[in-house]
Amino acid sequence: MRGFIKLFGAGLTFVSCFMIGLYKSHKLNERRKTLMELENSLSLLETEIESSIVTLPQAFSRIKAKSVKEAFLSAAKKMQQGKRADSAFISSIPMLPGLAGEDENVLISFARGLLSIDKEGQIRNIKLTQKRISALRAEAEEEYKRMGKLYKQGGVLAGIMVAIILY
Amino acid sequence: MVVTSNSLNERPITKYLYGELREVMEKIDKSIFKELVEIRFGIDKPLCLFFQNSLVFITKNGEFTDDYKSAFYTTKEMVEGSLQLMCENSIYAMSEKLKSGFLTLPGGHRAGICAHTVCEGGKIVSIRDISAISIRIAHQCIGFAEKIIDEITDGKHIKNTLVISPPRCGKTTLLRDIARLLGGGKFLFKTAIVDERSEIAAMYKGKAYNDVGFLTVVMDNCPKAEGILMLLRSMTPDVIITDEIGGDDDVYAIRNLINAGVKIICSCHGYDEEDASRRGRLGELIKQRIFEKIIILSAREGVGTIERVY
Repeated sequence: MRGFIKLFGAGLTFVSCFMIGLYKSHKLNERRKTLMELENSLSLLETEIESSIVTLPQAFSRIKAKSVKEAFLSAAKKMQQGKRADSAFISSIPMLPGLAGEDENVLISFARGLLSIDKEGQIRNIKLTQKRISALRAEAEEEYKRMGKLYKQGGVLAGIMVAIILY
Repeated sequence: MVVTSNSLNERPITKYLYGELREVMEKIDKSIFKELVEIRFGIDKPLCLFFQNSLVFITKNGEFTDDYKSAFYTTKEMVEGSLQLMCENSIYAMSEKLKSGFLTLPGGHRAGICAHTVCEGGKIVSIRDISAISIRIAHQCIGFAEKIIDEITDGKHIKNTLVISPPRCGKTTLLRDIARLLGGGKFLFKTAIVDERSEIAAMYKGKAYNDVGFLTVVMDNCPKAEGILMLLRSMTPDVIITDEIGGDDDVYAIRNLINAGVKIICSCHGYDEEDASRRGRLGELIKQRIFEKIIILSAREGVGTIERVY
């Protein structure tokens, strides 16, 4: 019975370590994807603002990229309910998955730029944010390449090691 | 006659006010909106409300006061934030409208803007530094035209009609109710409106917030002369209704309209026929008896007093 409990505990420890590694790796991948989709969505936003007379809530509602659409849609709804663009977008940032480090600050300054009164100001804000997000995405890609596999394998190895020690 | 304020319960005007300004306005009793004519605020200026014959200031607690010193003063942030909300956070998309000095809000309310204008070659290219906003509340007087409608039509034919009145005597209100009656309210004429300043039908994103009749079509935010000719070509109307004619282009368009057998009902500034006749080309139209009916309005016994119909 005692042996079975030990074995069960070791198995549980192994699975936990493996899951933590997997989670860490997934988070890096999620950040990479979110930043990539944000970059693409900003291109779409730029086209909408530049080529037509759609309003910001309308342009936000047209963004369909999987991991960012909820945040943009929520910001659009808040604007329609009478919130200003900056506070509507800032309050929707937590809906973007996997963000880390400087990401949030870049998006907050993007939100502030949404108050620009002319088209040129809006386009400048989008272009600047795109540039900054592009740099962050390159950093996230690099980190995922470097650390993604390491977290997965590290989780497995750490799990085996702890299980052996405990067993 | 029933006076209604458009959709104020459905879409409160306070939704377009920012920050503390909205909080103050929300403290005010909603029922006053029925009588309210205008809300005015600006940078470091007292918040004031205009009624038909009076002006009141609003305190921080939403109470009325006659003393402007104890009124709630609005800030730059509140004025700019309110403009952002009125433009759906998209001032860049409304720049053309802003250049004309006003915006139409849902419900037909009009926000007039005061700002620093940037000009090139004598034309306004953009505006910045918004300093004050005045929101005029849209009202509709259902039934205002009931007493004169039989003078304009017998149900089969419509007479070319000119409404002459000084400013703020009910010209637009009368035209709106005539459109409602002709376009389905009492008769079934194909009625069309050229609404240069979105005042008659209060269109917002393709929807008319004033009742102008279910058969009535509206060419919104369009110069009168061009709108008349466009409607003539595209909608085969029985009658076209438009406000405040006077320019040479307007008169040219009306002549084309008459030649095509379409009727016109319009208004112009003036105290009587003689006064209106002095207005260049429009005077020629009047003297040539193009208009079969003339309605004179005044404010002698309150706004919308019908002085004469002949």
